Amino acid sequence: MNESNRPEHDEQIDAPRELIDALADLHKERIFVPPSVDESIMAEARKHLNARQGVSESGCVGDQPQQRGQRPTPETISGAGEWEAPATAPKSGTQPRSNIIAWSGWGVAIAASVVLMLSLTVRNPQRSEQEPTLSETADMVATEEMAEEGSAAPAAAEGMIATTPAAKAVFAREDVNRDNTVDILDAFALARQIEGAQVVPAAYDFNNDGAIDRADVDWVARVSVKL
Amino acid sequence: MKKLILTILAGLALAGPLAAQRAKEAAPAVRFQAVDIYVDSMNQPLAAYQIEFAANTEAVKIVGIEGGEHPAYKEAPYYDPRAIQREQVVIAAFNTADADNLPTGRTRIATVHLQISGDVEPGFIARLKTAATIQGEKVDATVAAQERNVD
Repeated sequence: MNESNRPEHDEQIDAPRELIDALADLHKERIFVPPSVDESIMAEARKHLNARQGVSESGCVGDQPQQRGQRPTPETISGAGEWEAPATAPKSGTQPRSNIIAWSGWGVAIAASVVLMLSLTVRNPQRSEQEPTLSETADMVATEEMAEEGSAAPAAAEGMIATTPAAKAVFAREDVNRDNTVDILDAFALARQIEGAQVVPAAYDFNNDGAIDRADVDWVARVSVKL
Repeated sequence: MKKLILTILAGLALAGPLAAQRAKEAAPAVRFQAVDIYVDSMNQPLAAYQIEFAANTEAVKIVGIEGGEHPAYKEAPYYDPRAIQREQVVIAAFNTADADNLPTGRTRIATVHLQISGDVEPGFIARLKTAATIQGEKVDATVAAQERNVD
């Protein structure tokens, strides 16, 4: 509490005795206010508050300012001029319109999410059946490139003839000769392509070091003997 | 008092060798053996091969794998390092040399070194998975495993 707000300090005000007596007598007298003046003040107040209520209805979602903690309308002012405590909850069993609007917004959002999830769930199986994955695409591109260039080793070419893109067969990445088996012949085929200075598909950079060389051949060979 | 101490020391001196002898008798006998793997590609040059080798008992542990007799397969073949201390392995190798520098007929392509625990006589299985010529064409080769005692 601030030092100047202490009652002891107020009692020690050094004022003239006449002033103190006049102030004390002020509350004893009742000032007469004509009813016409009182009515005109109330009419102005109603007019002002009605105007505020109109703004509130047009600019806000809700229409019950009491429930939002706003000032009450003139109807809530008692005859003694005191504010009545605003109601904190609706007494009827119906939902306020603001809550209904808010919940309906959430409902629309949830419904939209469900529809989106369902559409994705339904679409994925079609994609897996009809469209190849990224690795499958890479494999098929590699197959197409090798078939077009005619650069593959005979064993690899033999495997590719039976596995044209139209067949949409899926091979392991290391299955270089496309015989559905990853074995030493895949490493052998890749080694022959590299040593023959042939164009090797980028998909055969198994160790991702930016070069297709003996290390990639060793990679395939190690995969083929893995227990 | 001195006689008592001497008796105890003599007992300890005799107990040590006896305990060691018993421990030696209780431990299973361990011996080492080598198995040579042969591939016969008939009259075709052998450019690549892959075989599976396995023992029929867990008393056998693979301890090493070395290359074959022909210069084309002198280096150790590819194998999974996890096969060491196990009883089976897949080994493979290839060579892109010309046909003149590749073996034909029966040739030892690898040797598997084994540790055998206990008084067992294990059996071995070698199965050819694939073999190919320099053109990558598969050949009808045969494989055989032949035991060789290690001194």
